[in-house]
Amino acid sequence: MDPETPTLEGLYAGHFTALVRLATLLLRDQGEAEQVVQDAFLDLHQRWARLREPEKALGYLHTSVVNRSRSVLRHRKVVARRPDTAPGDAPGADVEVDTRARRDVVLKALAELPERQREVLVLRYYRDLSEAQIAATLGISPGSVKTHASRGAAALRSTLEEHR
Amino acid sequence: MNDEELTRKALHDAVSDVHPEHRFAEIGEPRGRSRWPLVALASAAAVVVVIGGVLFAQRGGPGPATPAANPTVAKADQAVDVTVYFIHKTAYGPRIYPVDETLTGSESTKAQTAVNAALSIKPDIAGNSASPFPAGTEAKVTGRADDVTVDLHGTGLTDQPAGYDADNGAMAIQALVWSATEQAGDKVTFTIDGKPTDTLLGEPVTAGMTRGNPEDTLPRVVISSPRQGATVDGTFTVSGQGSAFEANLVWSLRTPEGNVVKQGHTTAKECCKLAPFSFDVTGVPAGTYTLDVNTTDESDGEGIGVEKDSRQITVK
Repeated sequence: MDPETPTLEGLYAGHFTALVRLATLLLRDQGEAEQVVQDAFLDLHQRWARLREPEKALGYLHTSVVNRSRSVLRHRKVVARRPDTAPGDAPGADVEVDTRARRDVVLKALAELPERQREVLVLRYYRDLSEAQIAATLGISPGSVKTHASRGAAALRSTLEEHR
Repeated sequence: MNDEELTRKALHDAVSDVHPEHRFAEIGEPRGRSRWPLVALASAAAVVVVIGGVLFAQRGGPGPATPAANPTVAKADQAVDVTVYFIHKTAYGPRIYPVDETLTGSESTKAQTAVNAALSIKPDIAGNSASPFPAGTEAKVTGRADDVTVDLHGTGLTDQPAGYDADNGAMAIQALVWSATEQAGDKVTFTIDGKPTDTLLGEPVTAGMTRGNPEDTLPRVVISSPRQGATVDGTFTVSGQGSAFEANLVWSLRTPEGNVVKQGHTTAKECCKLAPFSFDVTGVPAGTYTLDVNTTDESDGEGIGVEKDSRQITVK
């Protein structure tokens, strides 16, 4: 096998944590985020032997995680269950209360954004994907990515400034 | 620090305390532990499907699950041709499988007829081609032009049935959407006993649901003609839709003993998306045969990537 060709294990080792963090930004719930990413890898595992271009597997994972997170959010909306817990480890002596509060403000602000704006912002500013990569991940046009990014960023900054 | 950098820093900081435990070992387990364990089983075992109370058995090939034989439903005086969509498990997860049928009804009520048939399918022991809608569910299809309303009546319609995941539920809903819009319309609104509902089988539904992307909704090979059990001349045309690597499809005609009497390859009109294919089979002696149309193996002989559709036919 070409040494440049990614392996599933390599993708998991290299991206699992980052993808869980990505899903946590979308879902505001670490437990659900972990499940979403684990399911995305399980699905990829089942398709792996048939992948024509394994180098595109990471792009597939991004799409899968975003789509699955969207399903979780819609299901959560339906059952009117909205976890109010912050992600991460239980508060301990090493995490100051104001640090946790600051982080939760960001997650709450993200949660209040329209779905597409939240997804575009997280892919752009957390995963550092290009506009073209985000467009491919979400199945929307690069122009829409630009629009969602600028509106989302403005809305997020506005909310964060209110909490300063 | 500019606005972009501030945004980037805020997002990274917000999840910097997320340290999930890696569970790769769980993913590396044999396929039998996967979310769709029966796909693996079905590749080696006969695929048994109960449709409308009629039992069909069909031997699976080297690939994953083979679509069910067409259901045979009593023909009526007022016969109407409809396409009905059933759930079918594939290596890519559940898909809806179109079956052309001649059923009781009239041209003006084709959507109702198709939805009734999609609901009447019974769960089978292999988990293949089963409708997760609770037994006894009834539907009334109204509306035309753009919007179709499917009013459901039954119990347990809003909750996810035991043993089904979100993909099954979403495909069950798509099976009804595709069946209801086969005749006319492109949007379906579901109600339960005349009232709007937010969920069906645990899945969120909204007003005006549309057909999903065919690549994510339909199987990769579907033979539309000849139909299951058809009697044909020694020269006949096979047509359908396929989505395959470089659009390549291979086909074979086998005797009940497994001897290949004809084989060949064809290409769908477009690569890598569902596109029509059609080819002629000529000079076939009278007898009964199994026709297989497969996608080609993209996995260097591992034999995992093949999907196929089959028909049992009689040549007169």
